[in-house]
Amino acid sequence: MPVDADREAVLAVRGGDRDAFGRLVSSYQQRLYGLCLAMVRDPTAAEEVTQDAFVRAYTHLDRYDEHRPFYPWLATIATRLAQSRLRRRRRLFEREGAVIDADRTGSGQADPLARTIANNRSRRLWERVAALPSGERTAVYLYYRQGMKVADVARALGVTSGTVKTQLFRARRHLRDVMDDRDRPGKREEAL
Amino acid sequence: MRELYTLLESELARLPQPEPPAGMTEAVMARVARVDMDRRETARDVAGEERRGPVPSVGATVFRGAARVAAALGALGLAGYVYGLNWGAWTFDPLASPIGNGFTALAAFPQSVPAALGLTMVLLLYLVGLLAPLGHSSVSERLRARAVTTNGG
Repeated sequence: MPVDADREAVLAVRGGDRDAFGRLVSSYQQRLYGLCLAMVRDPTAAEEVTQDAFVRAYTHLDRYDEHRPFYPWLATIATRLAQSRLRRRRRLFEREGAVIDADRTGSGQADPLARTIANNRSRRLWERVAALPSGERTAVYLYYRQGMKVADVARALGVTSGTVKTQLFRARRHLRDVMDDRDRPGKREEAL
Repeated sequence: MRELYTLLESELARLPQPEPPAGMTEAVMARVARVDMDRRETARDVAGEERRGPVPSVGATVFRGAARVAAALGALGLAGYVYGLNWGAWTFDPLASPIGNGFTALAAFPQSVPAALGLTMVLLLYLVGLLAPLGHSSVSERLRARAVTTNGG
């Protein structure tokens, strides 16, 4: 959805046109759901977080600066909600006695998106992305997959731009061998 | 490393987007409609509260009743005083009588009609001013109500 169309829709919602918000939901639900799924890795939880993010965006629409793109603002809300949910889940695991790193619980096979990727190499790349620590994974997702700027990613994660650059650098280092395999298909076999 | 950026970007962008569950838009819009309904109800409640004003305490109610009785008696006394001074033989003089028994000329009351009427008007004005806050919400409450209206709407 173009920025101008977003702005018009937001102004219409502020003017009392609730259907205009429905247009924003239709435009961004797939993108936002993908982000939430990448973060919480559970379809039901991702659906809840996505819905909560839209509802919160609606209730706080007066705080949105219509001169900026709408999606990064929406993604910031969703990211904060997903982070909060992950923290709650981690506390629950710890309280139950099973100390599990919620960031690393999603193995590649358990990742919902990985199951939908037919291409082996692409799936392997995604599995590596999914295995990254939460901060790096979200930074990679927002920056490379959703095309957000570093400053917007930083705002969404609640960190500085420098931290995001560091996270992306570390993530690239983790992913380098996968990408190298892609460049040189024989390398994996050699290694084996 | 630059190639890695490009490859990563293109590879990740090519991955399929997961489909959101069916009916997500409807579910969100239903929740949004509830939000609007709650907002309207809250606004109605606030407006109703403002119309009704704050609920007075028992002490305030008793004090307000006593003040009204005192005001009524005071007005009756003043009316009697003015009537007796000008037209009647009987003089109702609640201030001068006790004073007159033991003391003399502690307070000199006017004897002419215009002066008596003037004194009555001034005393009535004083009573009205004295009891005015009892009939309305206090100044701070009014200011607070105005602030809520300004911020909320």
